[in-house]
Amino acid sequence: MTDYKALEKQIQDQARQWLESGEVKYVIGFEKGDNSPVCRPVFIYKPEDAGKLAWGPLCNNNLTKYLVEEVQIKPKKGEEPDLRPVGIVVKPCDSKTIVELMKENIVPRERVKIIGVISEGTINPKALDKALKDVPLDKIAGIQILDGGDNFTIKYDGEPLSVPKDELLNGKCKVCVVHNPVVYDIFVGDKVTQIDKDEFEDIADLEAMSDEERYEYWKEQLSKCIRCYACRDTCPLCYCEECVFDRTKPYNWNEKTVDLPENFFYHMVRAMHLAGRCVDCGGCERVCPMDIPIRKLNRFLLKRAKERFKVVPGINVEDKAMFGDYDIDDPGEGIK
Amino acid sequence: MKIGVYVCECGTNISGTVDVADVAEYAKSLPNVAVSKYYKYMCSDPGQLLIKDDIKELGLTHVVVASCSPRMHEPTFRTVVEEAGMNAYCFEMANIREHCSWAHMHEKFKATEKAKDLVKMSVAKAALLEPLEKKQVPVTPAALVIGGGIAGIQTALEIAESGFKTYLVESTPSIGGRMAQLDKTFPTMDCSACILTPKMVDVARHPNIELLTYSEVTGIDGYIGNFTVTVKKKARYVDIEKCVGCGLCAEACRLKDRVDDEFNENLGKRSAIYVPFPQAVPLKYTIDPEKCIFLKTGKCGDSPPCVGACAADAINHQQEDEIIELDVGTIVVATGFDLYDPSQKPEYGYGKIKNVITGMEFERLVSASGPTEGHIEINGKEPEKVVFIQCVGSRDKEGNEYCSRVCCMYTAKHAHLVRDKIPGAEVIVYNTDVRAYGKGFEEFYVRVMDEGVKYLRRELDDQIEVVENGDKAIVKAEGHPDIEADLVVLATAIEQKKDIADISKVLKISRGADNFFLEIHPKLRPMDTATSGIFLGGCCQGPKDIPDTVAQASGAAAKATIPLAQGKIDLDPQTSFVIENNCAGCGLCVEACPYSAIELMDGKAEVNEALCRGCGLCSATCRSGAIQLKGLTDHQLISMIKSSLSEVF
Amino acid sequence: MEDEGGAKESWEPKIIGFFCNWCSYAGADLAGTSRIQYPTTIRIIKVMCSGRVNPQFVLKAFQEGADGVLVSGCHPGDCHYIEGNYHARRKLTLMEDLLEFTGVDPSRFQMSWVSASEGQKFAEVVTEFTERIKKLGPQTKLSGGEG
Repeated sequence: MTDYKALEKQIQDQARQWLESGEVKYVIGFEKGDNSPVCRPVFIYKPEDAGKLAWGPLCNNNLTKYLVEEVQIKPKKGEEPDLRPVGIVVKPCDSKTIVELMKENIVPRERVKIIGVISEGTINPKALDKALKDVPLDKIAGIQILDGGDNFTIKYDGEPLSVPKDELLNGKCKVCVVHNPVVYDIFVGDKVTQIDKDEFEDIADLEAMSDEERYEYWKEQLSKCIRCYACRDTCPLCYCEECVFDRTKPYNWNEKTVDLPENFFYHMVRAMHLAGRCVDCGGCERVCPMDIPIRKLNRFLLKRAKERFKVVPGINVEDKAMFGDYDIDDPGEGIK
Repeated sequence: MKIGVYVCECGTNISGTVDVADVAEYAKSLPNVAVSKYYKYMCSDPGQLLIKDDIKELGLTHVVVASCSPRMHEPTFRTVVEEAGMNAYCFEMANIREHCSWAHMHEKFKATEKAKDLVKMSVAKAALLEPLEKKQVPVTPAALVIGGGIAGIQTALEIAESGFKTYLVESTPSIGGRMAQLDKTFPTMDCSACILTPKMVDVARHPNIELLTYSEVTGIDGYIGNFTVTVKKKARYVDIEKCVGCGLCAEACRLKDRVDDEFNENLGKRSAIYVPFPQAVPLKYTIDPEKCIFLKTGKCGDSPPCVGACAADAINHQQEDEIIELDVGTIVVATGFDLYDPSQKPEYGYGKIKNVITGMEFERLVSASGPTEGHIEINGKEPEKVVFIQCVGSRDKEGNEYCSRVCCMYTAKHAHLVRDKIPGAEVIVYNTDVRAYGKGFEEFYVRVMDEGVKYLRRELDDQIEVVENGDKAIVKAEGHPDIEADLVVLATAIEQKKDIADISKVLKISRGADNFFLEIHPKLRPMDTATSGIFLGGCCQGPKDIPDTVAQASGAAAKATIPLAQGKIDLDPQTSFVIENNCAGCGLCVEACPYSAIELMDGKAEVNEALCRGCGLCSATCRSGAIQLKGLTDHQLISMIKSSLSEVF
Repeated sequence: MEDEGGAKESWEPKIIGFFCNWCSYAGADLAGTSRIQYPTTIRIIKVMCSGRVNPQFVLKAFQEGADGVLVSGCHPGDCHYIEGNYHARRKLTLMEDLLEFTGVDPSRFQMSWVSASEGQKFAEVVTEFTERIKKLGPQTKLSGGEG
């Protein structure tokens, strides 16, 4: 059971201390939303603002996207760049992203100071909306959520609600097997003991289908795609200087139209680009306005990469990149 | 942009199936095509002239020739367009012979349609080809030869004779290699040492050769013309400047006659301080660090007797390995071979039955300089019945599938030697096919049979087993009566060196399915590796007898000397390049590159064009297309894909 | 395009091949030199190494209407560039998995190892692959075409 308030206090104290000493440029964290219980990203520059930092099961964003932007900013001409590290608050999955970013030479370790917070799962805001359907609108922003073991207890000015975790948790949290940050300067919370489970149970039903059924499934899902590229834009590992899907000159990989084959192409190429790297932070699915189960594509490749090549991303900075490496004994069962 | 398309009839080789007139006419309709013609033989002088004249008169910027495989004539046509003033890399070929007319001889219409597609694809690619400039780099006028067997010796002598500095690196204390272990050579029966040792002495004396024995190549950086080689000179614990090779140290050694002598295939004994054989070059002693009591324990009596025995004060137990760097322009690999270990096949009884020995062990037994001074004896007795078994470890579906090429003849030689030294001895050779293909081989084989050696044929898959019977061995061969023999000699296969994985990692050259180093072309470029500037000599490329080894070694020497003599070389400009603005600096290409040709500099990938071999792996690995291969860019490939599949261009 | 009377009696698949220069392209050359006959369905694009084949090219070929894609390189261990074919195997088998997971007929993609001396094998691979694609009919899932 997580005591969110205690964690929040530790985060604030650490941020304040770093800001006071000037050892970080600023701290990227979460703050309470104005009219919503859902937390939003915040950038804290002054020690006196550290109290704004919030923690809870509604801290959904993977803030490392901002870290990528920080390190990719090119200093203006004649300006001395401020290369001090940036402080950042991360959940375990976000910390795995940092491992990948370090592996890929994007974020140097010395440019970041990490407040790694344990997580026993975050709440899907859409599921929360459903659970709060009887709570008056004006009370929603002020609710408080407590970890009650198998339940979340939602307190507000009225009879507290107790909702089973399974109803509220993000899909990615239900299958997650890493509840402690893997890279950090400061570890916040009590180490969570890991329970063994089938981490890919969520795609088992799709895998069990026939090719034709799967095609029909994806046809339905991907025909919804409006190619807004929100999934790409929110992904911390989509840091290319120019995305191949934005390229028009001198050649283009994809037409800039929205039709089913093009959508298939886009999502398949994106899945390949993330293969062996995606740590399943769930950002893509969180931001998709059309509710496309994008994670299933990434998770399928995550599963196959593990089975085929024993590659598990986001764990060890020393691991080789999946496509930068090979094993003589890699399976090639279909090859003639 | 003006593209010229030239469709070749190749006599009737193409035009017999493909309607070349139709293809040429079709090509006119393709974008940017200024002229399209067909002709009997494009590669002939008049054909070449046709292209050259058009380039000059029409100002063609690109040329497409639709004819045979580019693997055949691409270099020819590149030269043709270059001679007419066009850039050689604005040339593209469509393969309408091997891939079309010859493969679809009964489908004329479809073949013609396919030929049109192939031309269309080539035109689409050609339109995107940009002129490339060849770069020249100077060549360090020195060569490295790795391995001091007969192949390395021959190569080193020939490069040195051409006037170039040559480093000969040998991992054991002496050059000479496998040939030094042999007694006689087939089919002429000359004494191996008599023909080898003068060459070894020549190496030692040659002013252009620097001999580095008991040394290993541990690293190679750079590229053709400019290799930097790291060599580890292993500690000999003997100062070779001082050692005079008198051997008093070995006499004094407390382990005298107690250390297995690998030169004699462990049939004899030596001291812990030793020379491998009396004619060793250099004739300098080496302390075996695995065996020397002083080196292992820090103590050897009151003081090591070898030190006391050495009048030249050459022994130094404190000596350390030394790392040196050599700059060379070309490299010849002549690392030789190992022999198959027959104990992997328990049915032969090798290692368990003392009557069973290998061919190389027999070689040492029969050698006048061997442990028995040339007396063939087993368990102290001269054998009366000797059985030879061929193809042990060769032509084996589960092991080495290849034929080792020398076993038939060395077995014939051994059989002859038995008959020669032990008159009246019964000699039986179990063969699976006798391959006597070389000069004088068949004659020798017939002569050996005439001498009374009995050849019994087995099928490859037939079972054979050797079992112990008192002080004799019984050979049980399927389809033949059992034979009770005093001595059984196994003709073991030639295999790639056991430590080859380390060597190939250092050299970055490929190996084939047989584990031997892979030549770039088995027929036309048998000495070249895929890494330009690195050549192959002798058995490291595949099993060979001595004449073939020497011939290939001489060839490798000639190959390695060409760039040295030219003084400069052209680099293939079809390398990778980085589009800096698109590179995020993730370093994936750096990790993937098999040649370490890419580095991250200030957060961007940078290609060392001299190291790049143009495979394009980096380009296929980059997510943002920021690294591209000149002559085969993503753009060009996409263009070919599109054109091949679109009905209209 | 004019028709010379050899009108297509039936639908012919179009197969794009990406062949490495050193082994598979040479193997295809050998098939021709040996006059081994095989279907006219394949259009071979020569790459220096199978490692050059980005999975995107395969998907792109499907998008442009290819009915099948064949990638061929040197046998494992024989790569002219030491390890390019191992890299190709890793990327392309994973891509094949993805074709399977999206239900986009993974059987329209084939990888093969063909050496310079395997002209016969090359012809067999193309013949078999053509037969398989013929049974599947035109590829429309990624091209959107009617075939």
